Order: sequence, then structure tokens, then C-alpha cells
Amino acid sequence: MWPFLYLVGADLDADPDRARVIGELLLFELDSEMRMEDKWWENASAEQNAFAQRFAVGDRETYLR
Amino acid sequence: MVFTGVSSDVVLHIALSSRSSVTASAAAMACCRHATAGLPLSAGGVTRQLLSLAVGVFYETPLVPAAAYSCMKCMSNGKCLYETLAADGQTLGYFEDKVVPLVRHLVDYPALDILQTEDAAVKNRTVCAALRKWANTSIGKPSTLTAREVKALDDFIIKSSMPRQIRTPENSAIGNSFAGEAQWAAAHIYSSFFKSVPANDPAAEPTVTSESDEDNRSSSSDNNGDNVAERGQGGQPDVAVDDDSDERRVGGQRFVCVRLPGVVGEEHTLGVLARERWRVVQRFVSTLMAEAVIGIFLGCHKPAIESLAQALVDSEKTV
Repeated sequence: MWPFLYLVGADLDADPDRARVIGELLLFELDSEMRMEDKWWENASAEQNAFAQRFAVGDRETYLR
Repeated sequence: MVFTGVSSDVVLHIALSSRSSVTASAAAMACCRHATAGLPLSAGGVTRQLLSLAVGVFYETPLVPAAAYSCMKCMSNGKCLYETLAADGQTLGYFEDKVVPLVRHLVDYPALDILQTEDAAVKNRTVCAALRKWANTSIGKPSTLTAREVKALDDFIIKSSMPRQIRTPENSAIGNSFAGEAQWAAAHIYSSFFKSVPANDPAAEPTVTSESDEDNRSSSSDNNGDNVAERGQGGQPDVAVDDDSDERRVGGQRFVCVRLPGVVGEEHTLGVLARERWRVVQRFVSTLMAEAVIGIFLGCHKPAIESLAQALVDSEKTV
């Protein structure tokens, strides 16, 4: 994604239509990913939720325990 | 010392009670890694080597009594320690009560069964297959299309020429309501870079950038690491191998997909740079349009990307 944006980025100001469609595509992909993540968590077991919750804080003591 | 003794006992038990030598070695290795996972990387490696050495030495000392097992067929030993017994000197049964369950969080995570086109911007499976095939085609070479692909691509491009509704910047439009807009955007991007032409059209001739096609093909396959373009349902190729088959003809003509010249400024640069630019475009088109993009933004700051995308939609010059 980033190489493509670097490639076309210089001309985007002159071509607002292309900028718009790229932006819409990115928004769609972001939404898709978030929706898939939600579906993934719906299928997660209680143990997996507890595991994620335990390490969600991200402090050093949790990892050393 | 106590830790090593316990570890040796556990590994011995695994070896005696596993179903086969393969599962025994895998379980023993997993147990060893599990036991040393909390150690620093270098210390963990040394500890695992020492444990393997200790287990190897320890295995030479115990004598496994024959009474521990009995024949599976005749069950001659009714008081054996282990329930299921050696067969052909290789297969061993196991005691479930004695096996310590190893929790492997990465393995035990749920897996979603996702169709490749479910969350892709392009919903048509034939178009997706054509785009993936196109992404793996050598730069400078046109991609031959089947009749089905030509028709699907035409329908796909026609959608981008349709008038579109003005999207309101409300967050309630997230999700499926975006799919139509994304498909429109995908078609617009595709038609900005590629087009389908008859094979005898002058535009279908290989371009000057194909001078080192072999190198490009090898580096392209190295970079991609996949061959999804050639993969259809059930791992079968989506397209026929024979270039002259009727399946590839539309109205008696063969069609190919070609790159629009000058779109990435290749006329003012070296051939190798032009090929690299086209490869970037092909990879973007294949990944963001023809695949269900899951995890592509992993580790990125999604709110910032969303701001960038919104700014692109609004045609802002600065973010």
C-alpha cells in the first residue's frame, strides 16, 4: 500500500478523483478489517479473552509473572 | 537439580506413553520449550541443550519392564500400567490422565472461515482471479484473458462509468454500505492503469520494459511468495493452459489485458525502475482489490490511516 501511495502521491493533487477513490478503498479496507476483527473476537473462547485481557495492559510485571 | 529431575521424568513418561516416536519427540520438545519459555533467549537455548543432554543420559539408566505393556491383540497382560500397548514395536498408547495438556495460545486461537471475495473490494470471483493472475504476469507481457474474464472485466469497468451517489461522511455508513463505493473505486483504479484489448491490437505488443523479462519473472515470484493468481476453487487453475482454445476467444478474437502506457511515468525513466513501478501497481491492485485484506494494517495506527484516507477522499493537500 505505501509504495503505491508514494508512487501516485505526487500526482494526487492534480487528480482529485483518483485521490478520492484511493481514499475510499482504504476506508473500505479499514472497515473490513475492523469488522473481521470483531467477528474473530466473537468466536474467541473465555480463556482467550482472559489471556488477551491479562496482557492488554502491556506492563513489564505482567510479562515477568 | 530438582527441575532437571522432574523434567527428565516428564520426558520419560512422554516417551513411554506417546502413540509414536514422532509424537513423543514433538511433545518432548514442546514440553522443553514450554518449561524454558520464561528464560531469556540465550539462557533458554543453553538450558534446552543441557536438558536434552540430561534426558539423553537419563534414558540410558532406566529399564522399562516388559510388564508395563501387553499385546494389543491378545491382551495377555491384564494388569499392565499402560492401557494401549506396543504394536509392531512402534505404536504406543497413552494415558490421558498422565498427559499434561500444553496450552498453545497461538494454535488454539479461533480461525475464521472467510471467502476470498467476502471482504474484497471486488466481489466478482472471476474478476478477482483475473486481477491476481495479472499481478503475477511478467512486466512487459500482456496477460491473456479467457472469454469469461473478458466479460466479467467489461461488466466490472462499466460499473465505474455509472453515476454514483454522493457519500455522506457519517460513520453509520461503515461496513456493507461501503461495498458499492469500494467496488466503484476499484473499477476506477483498474481502468486508470489497465485495459483489455484484442490480442492483435498494437497496444498488446510487449513493451520496451520487457527486455529482461526472465529476470523480472524470477524476482517477481520471489517477491510475491505466492501463486494465488493461478489458483482457483479447490486449488485448480482458473484458466485453461492452451492459449488457442475456444475458451479464450471472444467473437473469434483472443483478448489480453495490457498496461496503459505512460501512467507511471515509465517513458522518462530506466526500464528497471519502470518495471518496479508497475510491479507496485500490480501488487496494490491484486492485494487491495482482489483479496480479503485481513491484517494489512497490523501494527499501524489505524486512526491515522483513517484520517489519511478521509483526507484523500476530501482531496486535502495536507494531512
